[in-house]
Amino acid sequence: MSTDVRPEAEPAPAAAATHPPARPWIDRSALRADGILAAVTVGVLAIPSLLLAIVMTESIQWALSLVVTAAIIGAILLRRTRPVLALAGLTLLAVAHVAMHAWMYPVWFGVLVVLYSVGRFSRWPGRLMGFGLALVASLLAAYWLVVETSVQGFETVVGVLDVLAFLWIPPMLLFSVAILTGWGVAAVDRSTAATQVAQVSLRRADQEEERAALARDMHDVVAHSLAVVIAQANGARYTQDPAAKDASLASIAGTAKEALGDVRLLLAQLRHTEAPDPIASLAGVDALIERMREAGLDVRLEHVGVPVPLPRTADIAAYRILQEALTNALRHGDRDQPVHVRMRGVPLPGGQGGIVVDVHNRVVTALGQQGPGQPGHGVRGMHERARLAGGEAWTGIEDGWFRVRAAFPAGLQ
Amino acid sequence: MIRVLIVDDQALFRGGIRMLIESQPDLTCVGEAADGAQAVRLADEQQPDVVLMDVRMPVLDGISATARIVAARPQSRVLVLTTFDLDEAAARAIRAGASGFILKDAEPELVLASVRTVHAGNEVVAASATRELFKAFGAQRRSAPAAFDALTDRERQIFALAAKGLSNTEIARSEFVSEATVKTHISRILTKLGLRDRVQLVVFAYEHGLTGERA
Repeated sequence: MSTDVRPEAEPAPAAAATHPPARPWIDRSALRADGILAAVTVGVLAIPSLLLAIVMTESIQWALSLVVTAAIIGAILLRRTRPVLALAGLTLLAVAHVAMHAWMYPVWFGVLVVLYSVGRFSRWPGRLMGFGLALVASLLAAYWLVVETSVQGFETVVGVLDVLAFLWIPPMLLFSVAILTGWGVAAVDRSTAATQVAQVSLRRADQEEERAALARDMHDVVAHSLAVVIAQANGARYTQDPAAKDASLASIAGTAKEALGDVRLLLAQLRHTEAPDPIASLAGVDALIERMREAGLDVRLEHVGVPVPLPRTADIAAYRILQEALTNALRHGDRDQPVHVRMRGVPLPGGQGGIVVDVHNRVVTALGQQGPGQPGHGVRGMHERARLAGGEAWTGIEDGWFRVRAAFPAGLQ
Repeated sequence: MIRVLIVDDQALFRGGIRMLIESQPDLTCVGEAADGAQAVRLADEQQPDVVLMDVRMPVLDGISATARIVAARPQSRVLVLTTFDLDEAAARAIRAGASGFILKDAEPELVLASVRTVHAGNEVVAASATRELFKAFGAQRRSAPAAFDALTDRERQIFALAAKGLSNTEIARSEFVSEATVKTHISRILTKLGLRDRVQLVVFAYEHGLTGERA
């Protein structure tokens, strides 16, 4: 089964004949595969054909068997682009075959490949025509069996029913099954392709969101720091107080330095998102924590309860909040103390329940400057993110620990 | 002495602006607030003439704080500080009663001039930038209300010039009248239209298609 979606074939051969064909007759990308298929089909069927050839004495029979073989090969090569036309051609050949009272060549079974292709590569009208041609072909087969094998019994109604039951229904069934198989494969293929498209677009949306979040962070860092630098520099230019000038210069240097650190961190995140683990999901928690450990943070992860699958938006938000909390701990927290991460799954019947992400890290107490000031933009972003994903976040300081707790309902999947 | 209140959630930003304000003999900083709620409280205590107001702040944002401050004390003027020159929040703050907006990275001379201009009320701060702002985020144009018909022809001429952002001096020069006359006309126009100050006049003109440009 090929996974790529091919253009569906022209519905009717008539249309293909009157229209100058814009589409190629041979699908080049599949030429090799179909060539092999034709060779295998003919090769397999050639063995019984050769056995038959031992008893074939008339040269006309030989010629016709070669024509049928060539027709089967041609039809297989056309099966993707003109499946109905290929089937119609074979049916016409079958009419000639029966009219000439030719032998039954096993190579004829190659028609099953073409019938399958009608189901696989054509649309509604093409498939209906395929069934029509299958009906004609099965009647021809039945007629051939009646005539060439001298079946008796046309004199009575029961005899006619016998012929129908034993000589027409089996080929008709066989042909129909071939078309239906192709049809089923086409349907499966289409839904597979649709799923793939959906997955790709979902992944792209995640990446877009991630990029937008990074752009927002980058703007926050750069704009806020530069606004401070500009205000302080202008203030220092205008003030008459020399001590204030000195303090300004110190805060300009400090702000710029901090901003540079933040930008480096964001760029590191950007590089990570370009790395093979771009998808924000709680499934990637271990990798995230590993990265944080590499950056020098002692993270203790604890899973409590049973993991509950979250809706996609909540999954992204939960991951992002955890990432933000750990980044904050790395930036502002006491790095000598471990950071505790607890993922608590609360399953409830009926798709209820949810996940609580709990992060706490020791705040820095000795250095007053790094202390817990007012909530920064990152913390506000966490609340916003949680709310947008249908959850809720709490942040704050408890007994010297900075705590981030975010809860997301499993909700309706 | 113009009494200035500085409102921004970044202490170092406030500090820089404070130094700038304090360096001027005619300006004094009467307080700093880190969020909108503090700003409302301080404005009530300190009765500032001009409030320099950030828009994005925790607890209470600059837009709501502006509305509360001008409602409690109409003679206070609010000058909004923004990061972008086309910031929808600035447009909303002006609708809420702010007298103008300037960029956080504006030249210090412009910041000082804007504080004085807003206080004097004889000119619009960054008139063309304000028009651009309302071109981008303005409401749908409505037809002029009945109050506009109450203006005399002379007042309409002055209105059109003020709506373009011209100062009293410029209007006086182009109309060959004294500045005092222009001032009288302007205050009468504002009263008749029920507007707070000149920037509201610019916004009014823009939103009612009265800018003199053929819309």
